[in-house]
Amino acid sequence: MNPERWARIKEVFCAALERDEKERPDFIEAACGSDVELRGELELLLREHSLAPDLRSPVKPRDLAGRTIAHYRILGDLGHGGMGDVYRAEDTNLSRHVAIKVLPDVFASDPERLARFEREAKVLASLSHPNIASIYGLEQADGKRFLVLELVEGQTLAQRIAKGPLPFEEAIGVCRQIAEGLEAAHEKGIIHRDLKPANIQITPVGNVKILDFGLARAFQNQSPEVDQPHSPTITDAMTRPGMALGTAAYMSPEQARGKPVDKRTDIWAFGCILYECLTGKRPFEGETITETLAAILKDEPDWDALPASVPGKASDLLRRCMKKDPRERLRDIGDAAIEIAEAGAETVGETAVRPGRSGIKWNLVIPLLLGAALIGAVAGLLILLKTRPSFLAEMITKSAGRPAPAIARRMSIRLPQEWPLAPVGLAPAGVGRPALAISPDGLQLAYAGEHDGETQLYKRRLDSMKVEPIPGTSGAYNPFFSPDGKWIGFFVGNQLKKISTDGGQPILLCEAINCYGGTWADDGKIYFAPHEASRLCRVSVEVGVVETVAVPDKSKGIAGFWWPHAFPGGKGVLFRNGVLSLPAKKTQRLFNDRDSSSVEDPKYLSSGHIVFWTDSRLMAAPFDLGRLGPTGTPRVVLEGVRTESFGGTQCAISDEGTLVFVPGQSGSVGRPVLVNWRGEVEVLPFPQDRYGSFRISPDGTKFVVQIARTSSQIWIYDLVLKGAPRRLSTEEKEGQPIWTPRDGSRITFSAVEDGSWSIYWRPADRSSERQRLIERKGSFEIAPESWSPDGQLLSFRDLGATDWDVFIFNRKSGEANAYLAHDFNEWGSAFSPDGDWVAYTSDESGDYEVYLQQYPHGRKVQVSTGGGNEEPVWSRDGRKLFYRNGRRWLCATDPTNPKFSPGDCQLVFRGDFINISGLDYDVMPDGQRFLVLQSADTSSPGELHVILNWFEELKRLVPAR
Amino acid sequence: MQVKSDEITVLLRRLRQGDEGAADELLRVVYEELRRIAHAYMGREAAGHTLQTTALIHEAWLRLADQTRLDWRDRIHFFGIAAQMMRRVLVDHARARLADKRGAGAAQLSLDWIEIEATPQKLEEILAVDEVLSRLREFDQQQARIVEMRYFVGMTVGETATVLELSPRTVDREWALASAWLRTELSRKGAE
Repeated sequence: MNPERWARIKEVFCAALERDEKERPDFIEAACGSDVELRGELELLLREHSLAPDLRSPVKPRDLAGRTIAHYRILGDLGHGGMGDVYRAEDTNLSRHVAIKVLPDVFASDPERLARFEREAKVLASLSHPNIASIYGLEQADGKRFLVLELVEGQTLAQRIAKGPLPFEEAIGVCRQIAEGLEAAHEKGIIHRDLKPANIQITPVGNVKILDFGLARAFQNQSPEVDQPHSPTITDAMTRPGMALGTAAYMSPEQARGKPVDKRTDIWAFGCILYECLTGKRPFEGETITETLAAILKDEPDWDALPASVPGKASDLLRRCMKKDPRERLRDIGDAAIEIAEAGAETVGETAVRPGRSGIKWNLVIPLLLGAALIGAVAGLLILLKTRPSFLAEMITKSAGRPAPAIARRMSIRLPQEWPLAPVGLAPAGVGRPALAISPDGLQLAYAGEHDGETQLYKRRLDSMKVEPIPGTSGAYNPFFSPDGKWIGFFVGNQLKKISTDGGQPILLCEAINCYGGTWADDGKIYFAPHEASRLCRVSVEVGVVETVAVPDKSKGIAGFWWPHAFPGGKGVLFRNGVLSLPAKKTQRLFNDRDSSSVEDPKYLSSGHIVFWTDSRLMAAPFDLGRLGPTGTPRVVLEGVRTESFGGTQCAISDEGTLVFVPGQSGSVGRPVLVNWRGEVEVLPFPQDRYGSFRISPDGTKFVVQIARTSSQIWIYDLVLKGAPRRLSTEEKEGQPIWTPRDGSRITFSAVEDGSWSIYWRPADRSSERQRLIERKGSFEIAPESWSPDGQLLSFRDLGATDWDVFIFNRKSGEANAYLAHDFNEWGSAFSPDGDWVAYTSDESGDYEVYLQQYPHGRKVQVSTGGGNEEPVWSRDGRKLFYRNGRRWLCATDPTNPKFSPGDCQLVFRGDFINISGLDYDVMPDGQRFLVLQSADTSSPGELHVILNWFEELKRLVPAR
Repeated sequence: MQVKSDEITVLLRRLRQGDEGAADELLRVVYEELRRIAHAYMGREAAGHTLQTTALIHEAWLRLADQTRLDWRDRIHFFGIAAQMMRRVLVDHARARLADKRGAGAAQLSLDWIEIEATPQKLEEILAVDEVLSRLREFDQQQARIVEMRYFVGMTVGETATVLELSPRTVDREWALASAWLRTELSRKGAE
C-alpha cells in the first residue's frame, strides 16, 4: 500500500462514515469515479466496518469457518466473548439458519460446571416467547460443546442507539417488547442478569428479541445461588477489552455489591435501557469499571438529559425502575407496560401543544401504548403509524386510482387481549389451519380468534380502530374473503359456510369433512380440499352443489390438494406444490425439483409472483399466468412467520400489496416431552428437531421416531440414558416406525423407493440389514400400525385412491388382506394386549371417532363421541384405551365390557402438543406419563405484523417480468 | 513500587540522545508495573478469579498514567513506548504459551508467573493482529500506534486521544478504518 493511496482511502472512508448507511454506496461511487479498484477496496472496508466497527470484539475465526460440526455448517462469524464464540450456521437437517455458541474449552472440560450448565440450559430451552431468542438445544460433536440458538437478523439495540437517541414512540415500541419478553421469563422464574442494549436484537421488521437469556448465570463459575462479587459479569467484562464498561454499566446496585439478585435486577437494567434509548447515553458512566460501579452505587442518573418531549409518567416509570434499593423498585416488569401506557395517555393531554422531536402526532402513538397496556378491550385492535397519519389517506388515494408512495412500511397490530388469534388446537383434530385473511383491496382483516376456549371470527376494517366479533361464526376456522370483499368463507366443524361482511346470518354451503384450506375464485365457486385434502372439490356459492374437480394422480406426483388458492380470472387453482388448470381440470406439479412439503400454501400475487412457504420462510418466484408456471428460481423474501404443522401459514396478502402475518416460526419443529395426568410437562434433553411419528419400546426405555429432515429417517432415542440417539436407517425415506411386540427386538417401518411403498423390518440393534415384509406398488402411502401380541399379524394402513384403509399382513402366509376397508377413512389400528380386539379411527359417521372391533369379525363398539377423536392407544394391561381429541387426551376404561356406553370417557390431560400425520403420542408402560411433541413456538399470538406496499419490496428482491 | 517520574524523564532524555540501553530500562519500568499489578490480582486469584491478559495490561497502563507525572512531550513519548512494550509483552507471552502447548520455547518477557485465562484462539489472534499490524505500520504509523493503544493496551478513545494529542473524533475515525483494514487482512490471512 503506498501512503498516497492510503490517504485517499482514508479520506473517502471517513467521509462515507459521516453519511447515512443507505447513502454510502452512491457516495462511494461518486467519490471513486473511474477508479474501480479504489471503490472495491472501500466497499470491502465499509462492509467490514458495518459487520463490526471494532477490531477488538470479533476477529475472523480461522478454525471453524467453513467447517461442519455435527450437522451444522458454519457460515460465518457472529461474535466472540467470554461465553464462547458465536457463529452463523446452517442446520443442514432442518435447512434453517441458526446461531451456534461454542463453549470455551476451559468450560467444556470441567464436568461439574458442564453438568450445571446443562441443567440451566434445559430450563432456558423451555422459554418460548416471540421477544426472546430461543435456545434450540445443547449439542456435542468433534470434542466441542455448543448451544444451538435462534438466529436473529438485524441490528442490536446498542448499534441502533449509536446512531442517536430513539424518538419516544420508537423507544416505547422497543421497550414494550423487551418488557413482554422479560415478563414471560420472570413468570417462569428465569432472570436474565446481563440485560443490556448489546443483548437486544432488533430485526429488520422491528421485532425485538432478547438474546442470551439466563446464560450469564448458566456460564457462571460459582455456586448458582448468588452472583459473587466481581463475578461472573465483571470477570466476563474484563475478558473482553472494550466491553468492560459496556457490561458493568447495566449492573444493578445489588449486583455491583455482589449480593443475591432477583428479577428486580432485570428491571433495573430495563430502566437503564429505556433511559439510554431516550437520551442516547448511559445513565452511569465511568472511566473504569470501578468508577462505573461506584456511580451505580452512589449517583443519580442525569434526569435533565431526558428530552422535554418525554411525558412525566414515562420519566416516573424510569425513576421507579432505577431505585437503588430493590425493595423500592418496580416489582413487576408487567407493570412497566401499564406505566408506559399511562405515560402515553398523559401525552394525549399535551398532544396539541408539543409534537415530539420528529414531529410525531401523539394521538397516533396512543393506540400502540394502549395496546401495550393490554387494555385491548377498550382500545380494540390498534395500529401504530410511524410518522404521520397518512395510512387512511394513502388507502383512499389508492382506491381512487392515484399512485401511492412506493415505500414498504412496517407496523404492528395488537389484537385485543381477550380475543387473540385462535391457537391451532381448536381446528379439527388439533391441526393448525390458517387463521388470518385480508380482503383483496387490503381494507378488511378477518381472523379466527379465541375467547373462553371457543373460536369465532373477528373483523377489523383497517380504516377503523374497532375489532368486532362476527356473530354466528362460533367454532369457525380458516376464513377467506370473496374477490369483491363482501363475503367471508369459512369452515365450522365439517361444514363450509359463508357470511356477509355487512352482517346477517351465515349461510351453509355444503358438507366439507376434514378440510385443509379453501379459496373463493372469480368464477363464483369456492374450491376446497376435504377428506384430508385427498380431493379438490368446488361448490357454487349460490347453489351449493359439490363437484370433485381433481383427485390425486400418482404418475404426476400429485398426492393431495392442501391449501388451494385460486388464480385470478378463473384460470385455475394453486395448491401444495401443484397447479390445477381450468377449465381443462389438468393437474401438474409446480416445482419438480422441490419436495411438496417445501412448497406449502402457495399464493399467486397480482405483482406477477407466486409465493410459498418452506418452513417459516416465505419464498417468491416470478410466475407466468399464461402457462401457469414459475419463470425463475424461488428466493427467500420474508422470514420468521408462524407456520403450522401441516403447512398452513399465518399470513395473508392482499391484491394491493398489504401483507399481514403472525411472527413466529415453524410449528412442526419441536421436541419430545413427557406429560402426566396432571398435565405437568417434563422436558427431555433432546434438541428441537422435525420429529415425526414415534413409538415407545415395550420395556419403556427407548422410543423410535421418524425424523423428517430433508429426507426422513428413523432414529432410536434412549429415555433412560438420554444420550445421543442412534440412527437405524441406512436408507433415505424411511418412516412410521413401530416396535415388534414383547422384546422389541425389531423395528417395523415403511419406506418408499421410486414412488413405490413397502414395509420393512430391521433388528433394533442393527445387527442385520432391513428386510422387506410387504410391497404395495399401487399405494399412495402405507404405514405399519400394530403387531398382534404373538407377533404373527401386522396391521397397516394403506392410502388407496381416495381414503385410508386397514390391512392385515399374516407372517405365516405372507399375504396382506383388507381388514377395515370401507368407503371412508379407517386407520390408526391397534391390537389390544390380549390380541382379541382391534381399536381404530374411522370417519364413517362423518367425523373421526374411535371404534373397537373384536378380532376378526365379532362385536363392534363405538368408543368416542362428538367428533375429532383419533389415535387410540391401549394401556399395557388392556383395561384402558386412550385417544386424542385435538388438544385433549381422553381415556375409556374397560371399553370392551358390554356395559360400556360410547363417550363414557374421562379427560386425561390437555395441552397444545403437535399433531402430525401419523402416531404423535404414546403411553409409557406405567400408564401415568405420555410422550408428546411440544412445539418450539407455543406462544399465543397476540400481535400481527403488517407491511404496507410490500410488493415494492418484493419486486426489488425478486424482479418479475 | 511507585513509578518515578524523574527516572522516566531521565531515561527518555537518554533515549532521545540515542542511548539504546535506556529503552531496556523503560521496558523494565513497564514490566515491573505489570508484575506488581499481576501480583495484586493474584491476591484476588485466591478467591477464584482469573483475569485476562488484555485487561491486565490496561489496568497496568491506567496505573502508570495515574502515577506518572511527566511533562506533555515526555508523556506522549513515554506512553507511546509503553504501549509498544506492552504489545511486545503480550505478543511474547502469546507466542510462548502457544509454543508451550506445542512443546517448545519460552518467552523472553514472561507473564507466566500469573495464571491468565486466555484461550489458544485468543493467543493466536494476538499474534495474527501483531503480524498484520506490522504491515500497517509501514504506511501509517499514527494509525498503528492507535491500534497498539486500543487493541493491545485496551486504552479508550479518550485516553488514546490525550496521549497522542489528537481529537477523540480523529482517533475514532482512524480506529474505525484501521479495524476494518486489519479485519480484511486477517480474513485474507485466515483464508490462506
